[in-house]
Amino acid sequence: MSAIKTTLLAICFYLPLVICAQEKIEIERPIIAEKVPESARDFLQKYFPDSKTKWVLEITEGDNTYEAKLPQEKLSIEFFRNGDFLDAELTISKNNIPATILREIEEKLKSDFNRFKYQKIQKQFAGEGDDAIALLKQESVKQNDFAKINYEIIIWGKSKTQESFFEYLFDNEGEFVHRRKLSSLNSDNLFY
Amino acid sequence: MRFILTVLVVLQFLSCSAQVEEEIKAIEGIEARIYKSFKLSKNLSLKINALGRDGFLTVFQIPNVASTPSRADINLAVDRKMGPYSKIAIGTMYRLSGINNAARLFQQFGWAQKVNSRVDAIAHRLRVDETFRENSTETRLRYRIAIETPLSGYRLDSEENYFAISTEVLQKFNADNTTKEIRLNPRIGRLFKNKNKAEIGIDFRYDRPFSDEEEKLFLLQFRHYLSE
Repeated sequence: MSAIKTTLLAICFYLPLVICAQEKIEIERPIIAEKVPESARDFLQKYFPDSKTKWVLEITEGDNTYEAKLPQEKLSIEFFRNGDFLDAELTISKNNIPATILREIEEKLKSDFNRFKYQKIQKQFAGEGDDAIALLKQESVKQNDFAKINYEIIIWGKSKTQESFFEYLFDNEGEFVHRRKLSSLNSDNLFY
Repeated sequence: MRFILTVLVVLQFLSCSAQVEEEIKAIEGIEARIYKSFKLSKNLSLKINALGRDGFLTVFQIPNVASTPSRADINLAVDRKMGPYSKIAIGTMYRLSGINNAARLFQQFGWAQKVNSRVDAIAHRLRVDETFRENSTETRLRYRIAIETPLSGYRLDSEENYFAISTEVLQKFNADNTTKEIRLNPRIGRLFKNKNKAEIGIDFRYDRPFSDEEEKLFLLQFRHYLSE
């Protein structure tokens, strides 16, 4: 009888979990290539015909985009829902950022936090697809009206008032564009 | 004379068989835990968890398997972030289990690392605890490693399932002796939209392993982690 009571207790704990909808965070769902718009697949085939690609559907604040992940190239290419090119992001290390730009970036981060640590740095190529990929492949070294470079940086930062993970966007001069606080994960199950 | 000897041998054999049948090879039970975290400041949290444990398969009366005695625990801990992936905590527990109630203090340091895109996190926990019972005190030194990985996709997002497994070694010190225990805890979990997590799994505990006094405990576990 007591075992039945415990089981019922466990079920009572479990049921409220099903009822939940409070916070929106960026979600990635793996999808098969056939579900991706043909124009996005054609674009990838044109510029990266031999690359191993994994597709995900990225859901951000109700908007869906498609992202092709090319792990061997440390590259991800994002497309709008209609298949148009959005941007390409290349994962780099801090040392790959030109010194003058890095100085600007770190000045901003030091003004925001007492301590910070880089978690992930991506060089972002945005604009018209063909021009952005030319910049990425260094076929064109100059930015133009149709293609530009940004730096998307995820850091952990600690100041007097807050301590969290943040995503920063800087332009190619190191000028701050915007930042957003990232939602932290519940890791209690790993420590308790 | 030969008949008497034969009867004695048969009786001895039956008595041994009966002893083997009654020997407890393992203990089973079911356990439900609920965890709730409260944010106290930017890097301090209060963690509360409650546990209920009881025998599960008592109705089946499986030979050589005993059911765990009923118990209820309440834990309180204060947790402080030390960096992006590390935290320390101190806490206390009180256990109600009929005649053998216990109080415990614990101190722990935990740190995590992200390994690659497939494994969301590897977390390490070093804990020391002191348990006080009416006639005894026990200190345990514990190390646990836990791995969590999404069951689909490249990272764990809300409304997705994951697999987690942890293993722990414990060294127990008390007035009479020093013993060891090994634990293995695989489970399947789900991350919900509000960052709550729920898990179901098996907790296998092997006390005094590979000795004459070894004891095996199998628990069917439910865990519910409520976020801040």
